[in-house]
Amino acid sequence: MNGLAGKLVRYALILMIVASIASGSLAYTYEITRERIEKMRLQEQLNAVQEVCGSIVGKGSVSPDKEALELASRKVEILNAVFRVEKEGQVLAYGFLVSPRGYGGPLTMMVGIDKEGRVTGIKVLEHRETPGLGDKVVAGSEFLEQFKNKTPSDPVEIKKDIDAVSGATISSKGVTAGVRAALDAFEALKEGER
Amino acid sequence: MVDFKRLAHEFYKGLFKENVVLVSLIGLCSVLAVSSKFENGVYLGAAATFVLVFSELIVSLIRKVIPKEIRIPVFIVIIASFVTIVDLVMQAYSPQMYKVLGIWIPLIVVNCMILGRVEVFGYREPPLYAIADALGMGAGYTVSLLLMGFIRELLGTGKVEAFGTTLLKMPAGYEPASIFILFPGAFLTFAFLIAINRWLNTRGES
Repeated sequence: MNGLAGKLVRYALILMIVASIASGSLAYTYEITRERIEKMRLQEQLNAVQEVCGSIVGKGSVSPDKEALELASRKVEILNAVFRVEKEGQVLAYGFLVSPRGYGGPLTMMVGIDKEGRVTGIKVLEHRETPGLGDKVVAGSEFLEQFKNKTPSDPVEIKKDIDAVSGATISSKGVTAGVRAALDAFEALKEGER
Repeated sequence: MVDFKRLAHEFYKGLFKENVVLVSLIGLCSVLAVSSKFENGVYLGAAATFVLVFSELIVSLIRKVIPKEIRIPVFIVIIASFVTIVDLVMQAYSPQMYKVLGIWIPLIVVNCMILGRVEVFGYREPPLYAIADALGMGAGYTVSLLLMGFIRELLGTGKVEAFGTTLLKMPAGYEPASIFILFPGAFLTFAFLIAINRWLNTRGES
């Protein structure tokens, strides 16, 4: 083996050792923080359900509903989680976690819908919209108020019954699509019950 | 054995004389973007300092076995690992702050301050001095962030808040100049701080 080849092999070995030690310690950190990160994320989602379901939820308990998710996600692709708000075995409202496409990437939003199918509130949990334009859409604004009390039979579409925020049409469309998806998911659940 | 005088010198130089932000003008992206709020500086400063100290320490410990041809990839792997550790820990224990700093934590990887100090100092000097250098530079970076954040938040919103308490409030009747929490305000504040720091550093010289 000549000098250059030997050198290359030696460099590759050193790099490999450094990289494997680094990935080993990363895997370890990931392992010990994973549970907590998931717990925090779930807690944040539960809080969001409390917030969007407003007055109704104060009386009930919130819990994730895996069966409903499985049922509804067959119809609604962007559905990530379903939460049930219940009291003494009676479902009062649902929280739907959906991720429609926004302008700068996916939006993660919670939509609260009561048992009659009326939208009770919306909260955007994560977004990458443009500061100053798109983020006006997602922060608790007049725009979001428009969706209150919409039901699955309403069109919920820009230009029909929803006014987009000027200059942020794509972000507005994203949020609207999210609410539409949540309403569709609600309907899928209702159909499944029958 | 240990030269305490030199140790102290390596630490203090980073604070003002060779301040990474105000003198070397390095790592500015994060400083300009995040300093709209005082509190952000505490977290980003701590995160960057943590990464810098451990990267310099590790590089300094293994500097004799890293051939100079492959030093850059080795540095990057080490720095990126520590950044990812900070990223995960912050996500787990301080999700509120993680949301605010968001992208700026992963971007510490490409902060020139870290790679610069590792290359210039950590790769050449023994571990103890490397730690002193890293602490000093990290402190200098944090101080710049805090100063910027303090001034911008005070002038831009009329008060400075951190950890749920109000630190300082402008007298009643002060109309907040929101330009200071926007980007132009970042550049204005930054220019003034550079000028003041230069003046302090060159005072007494002819």
